[in-house]
Amino acid sequence: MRLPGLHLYATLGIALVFLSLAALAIGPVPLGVGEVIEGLLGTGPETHQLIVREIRLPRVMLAWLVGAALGMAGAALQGLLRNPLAEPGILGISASASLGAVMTLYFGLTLLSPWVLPIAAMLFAWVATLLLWGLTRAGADQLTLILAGIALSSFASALTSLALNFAPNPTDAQDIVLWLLGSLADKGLTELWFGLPFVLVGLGLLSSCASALDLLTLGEEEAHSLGLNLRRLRARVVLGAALCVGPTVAVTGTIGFVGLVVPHLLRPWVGFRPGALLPVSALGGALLVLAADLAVRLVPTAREPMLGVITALIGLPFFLSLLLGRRQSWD
Amino acid sequence: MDQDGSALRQNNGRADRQASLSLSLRLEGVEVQLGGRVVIHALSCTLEAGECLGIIGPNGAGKSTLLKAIVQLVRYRGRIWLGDEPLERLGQDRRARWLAYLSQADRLSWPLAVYDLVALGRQPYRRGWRWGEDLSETDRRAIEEAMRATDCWSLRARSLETLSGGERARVRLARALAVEAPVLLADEPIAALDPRHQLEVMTLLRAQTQAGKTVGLILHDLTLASRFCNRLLLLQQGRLIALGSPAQVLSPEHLRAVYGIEALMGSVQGETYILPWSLF
Repeated sequence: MRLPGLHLYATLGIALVFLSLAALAIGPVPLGVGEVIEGLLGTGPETHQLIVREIRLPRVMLAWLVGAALGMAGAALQGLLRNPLAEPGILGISASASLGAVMTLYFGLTLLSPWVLPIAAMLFAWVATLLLWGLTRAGADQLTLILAGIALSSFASALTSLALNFAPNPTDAQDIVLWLLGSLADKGLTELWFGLPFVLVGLGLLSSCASALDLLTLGEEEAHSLGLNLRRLRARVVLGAALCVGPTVAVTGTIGFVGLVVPHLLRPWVGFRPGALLPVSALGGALLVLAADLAVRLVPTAREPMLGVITALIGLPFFLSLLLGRRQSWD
Repeated sequence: MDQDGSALRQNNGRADRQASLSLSLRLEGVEVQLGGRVVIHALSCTLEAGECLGIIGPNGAGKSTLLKAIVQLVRYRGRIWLGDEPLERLGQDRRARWLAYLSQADRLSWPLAVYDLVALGRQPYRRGWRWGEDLSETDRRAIEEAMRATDCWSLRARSLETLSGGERARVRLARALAVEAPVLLADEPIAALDPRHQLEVMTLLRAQTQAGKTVGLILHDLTLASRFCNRLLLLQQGRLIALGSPAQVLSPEHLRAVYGIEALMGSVQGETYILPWSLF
């Protein structure tokens, strides 16, 4: 039989390497590929080493991390809910994390320490996760899980709007709005180390659900008859998605669309198998976020456009063309 | 069969040779309540090892619920024995390898390739992480056999969404057969099939029992039930009305009392046909 798209992995991997090199080369001080590699290896001039290793590489790696986390979380949730419309936001975890962050901005707590915001966001994400996890442990079905997620999401968004509504001064309101749009600008190694352990555990947890998600394709009843423990699968996916999404939102703000569009784009290439889609979506997510961040940096505007906006702008045409293409093949 | 056994042992690292096992399934006072309503009233019966038992009865009689109770999808009171082991204590891994179940619902979430779908039937033999295509020789042989038996080997590269309803039904049956479980329970496996494929599938299921498998089927076609099943179990409103040979169960009295129909009956080449004819 065919391999699970070995050339798909290769294509995505090569694209990721090339794009990463481009991201390391492009900037206010343009570097050649040779200079980038020298900088990485620590053999070039000190300024080049500094630019490549201290400034650009952390941002590139953060893009990988965020993209991989959002991509795989989206793929796992779509697999679990057996619905291509599911995305990491559907469980209300990202909205809760946002709320935590917005609260610190609203109360001006960010002045105390740069760590206050990501920690508050993580805490709020965890509260939401524990709630959902408790629901799945109590035996809630798919629909209850989605409804709880929507309720949680709406509640958090309402409180976020309230914070905007009552923001003490316009700059606070602007800070909040800009943060909500998501960005990798001025983010570096500290953010990377903050998010990395959580995301790695999350990615591992989600990866371990691959064959269970494949089984779920048959429907809950037959999957159960083949040995699937649905309750445990739900708990694992909720936990894994939270570990991926919580720190991502905490570090970069909400970056939409990646978790929705990446699995959707790649699904036909893995023969629609939810399990095989997981690692591929992580790669694809990294690719999309990196490309979007590169676009953000390249656009010659006075002020960098926000990443969350660009992922949507890049993702949308792809998404639409795909949908229309499929419509035609159905007709 | 012995070859099967050694291959399976390799596969599981344990010595259960379920492909060559012949098991009976015994229900003792099984009662099911759904939403406070009793759907199955304390029902006791046995699927003998190697028999094909047809479960018949009008819509809403509790046929599907009975199968769901056996595969542990709904809670029940009472006991179910698989061979001489209580099914409840079998553990989900062994249950998955010993009991294959084909549900009525034909809702597949993603348009997988046919081969990949049938291959899901081999998952009970696998452990841990699986991203790659790590089917063993035994897996491949079981998949191909199941697909050839159900006449869908030629569809193997097709996407599920390009199949007709009948083709999908055969592919789903192949998935259940690929488990190579000693007991197969199927909820209306021939409902979507054309007459030729109905006969083919019934012949196939019958052949499975000759190889020692125990088969439980929910059927609506009384003629096929009579011709292909060793025994029939007639349910009405969750109660066992009759259990026995097709001739005993499909009496005109039962058909009137349970289905409310008059049927034309006759026999051709020593086999009975039953044609629902008019309301009673």
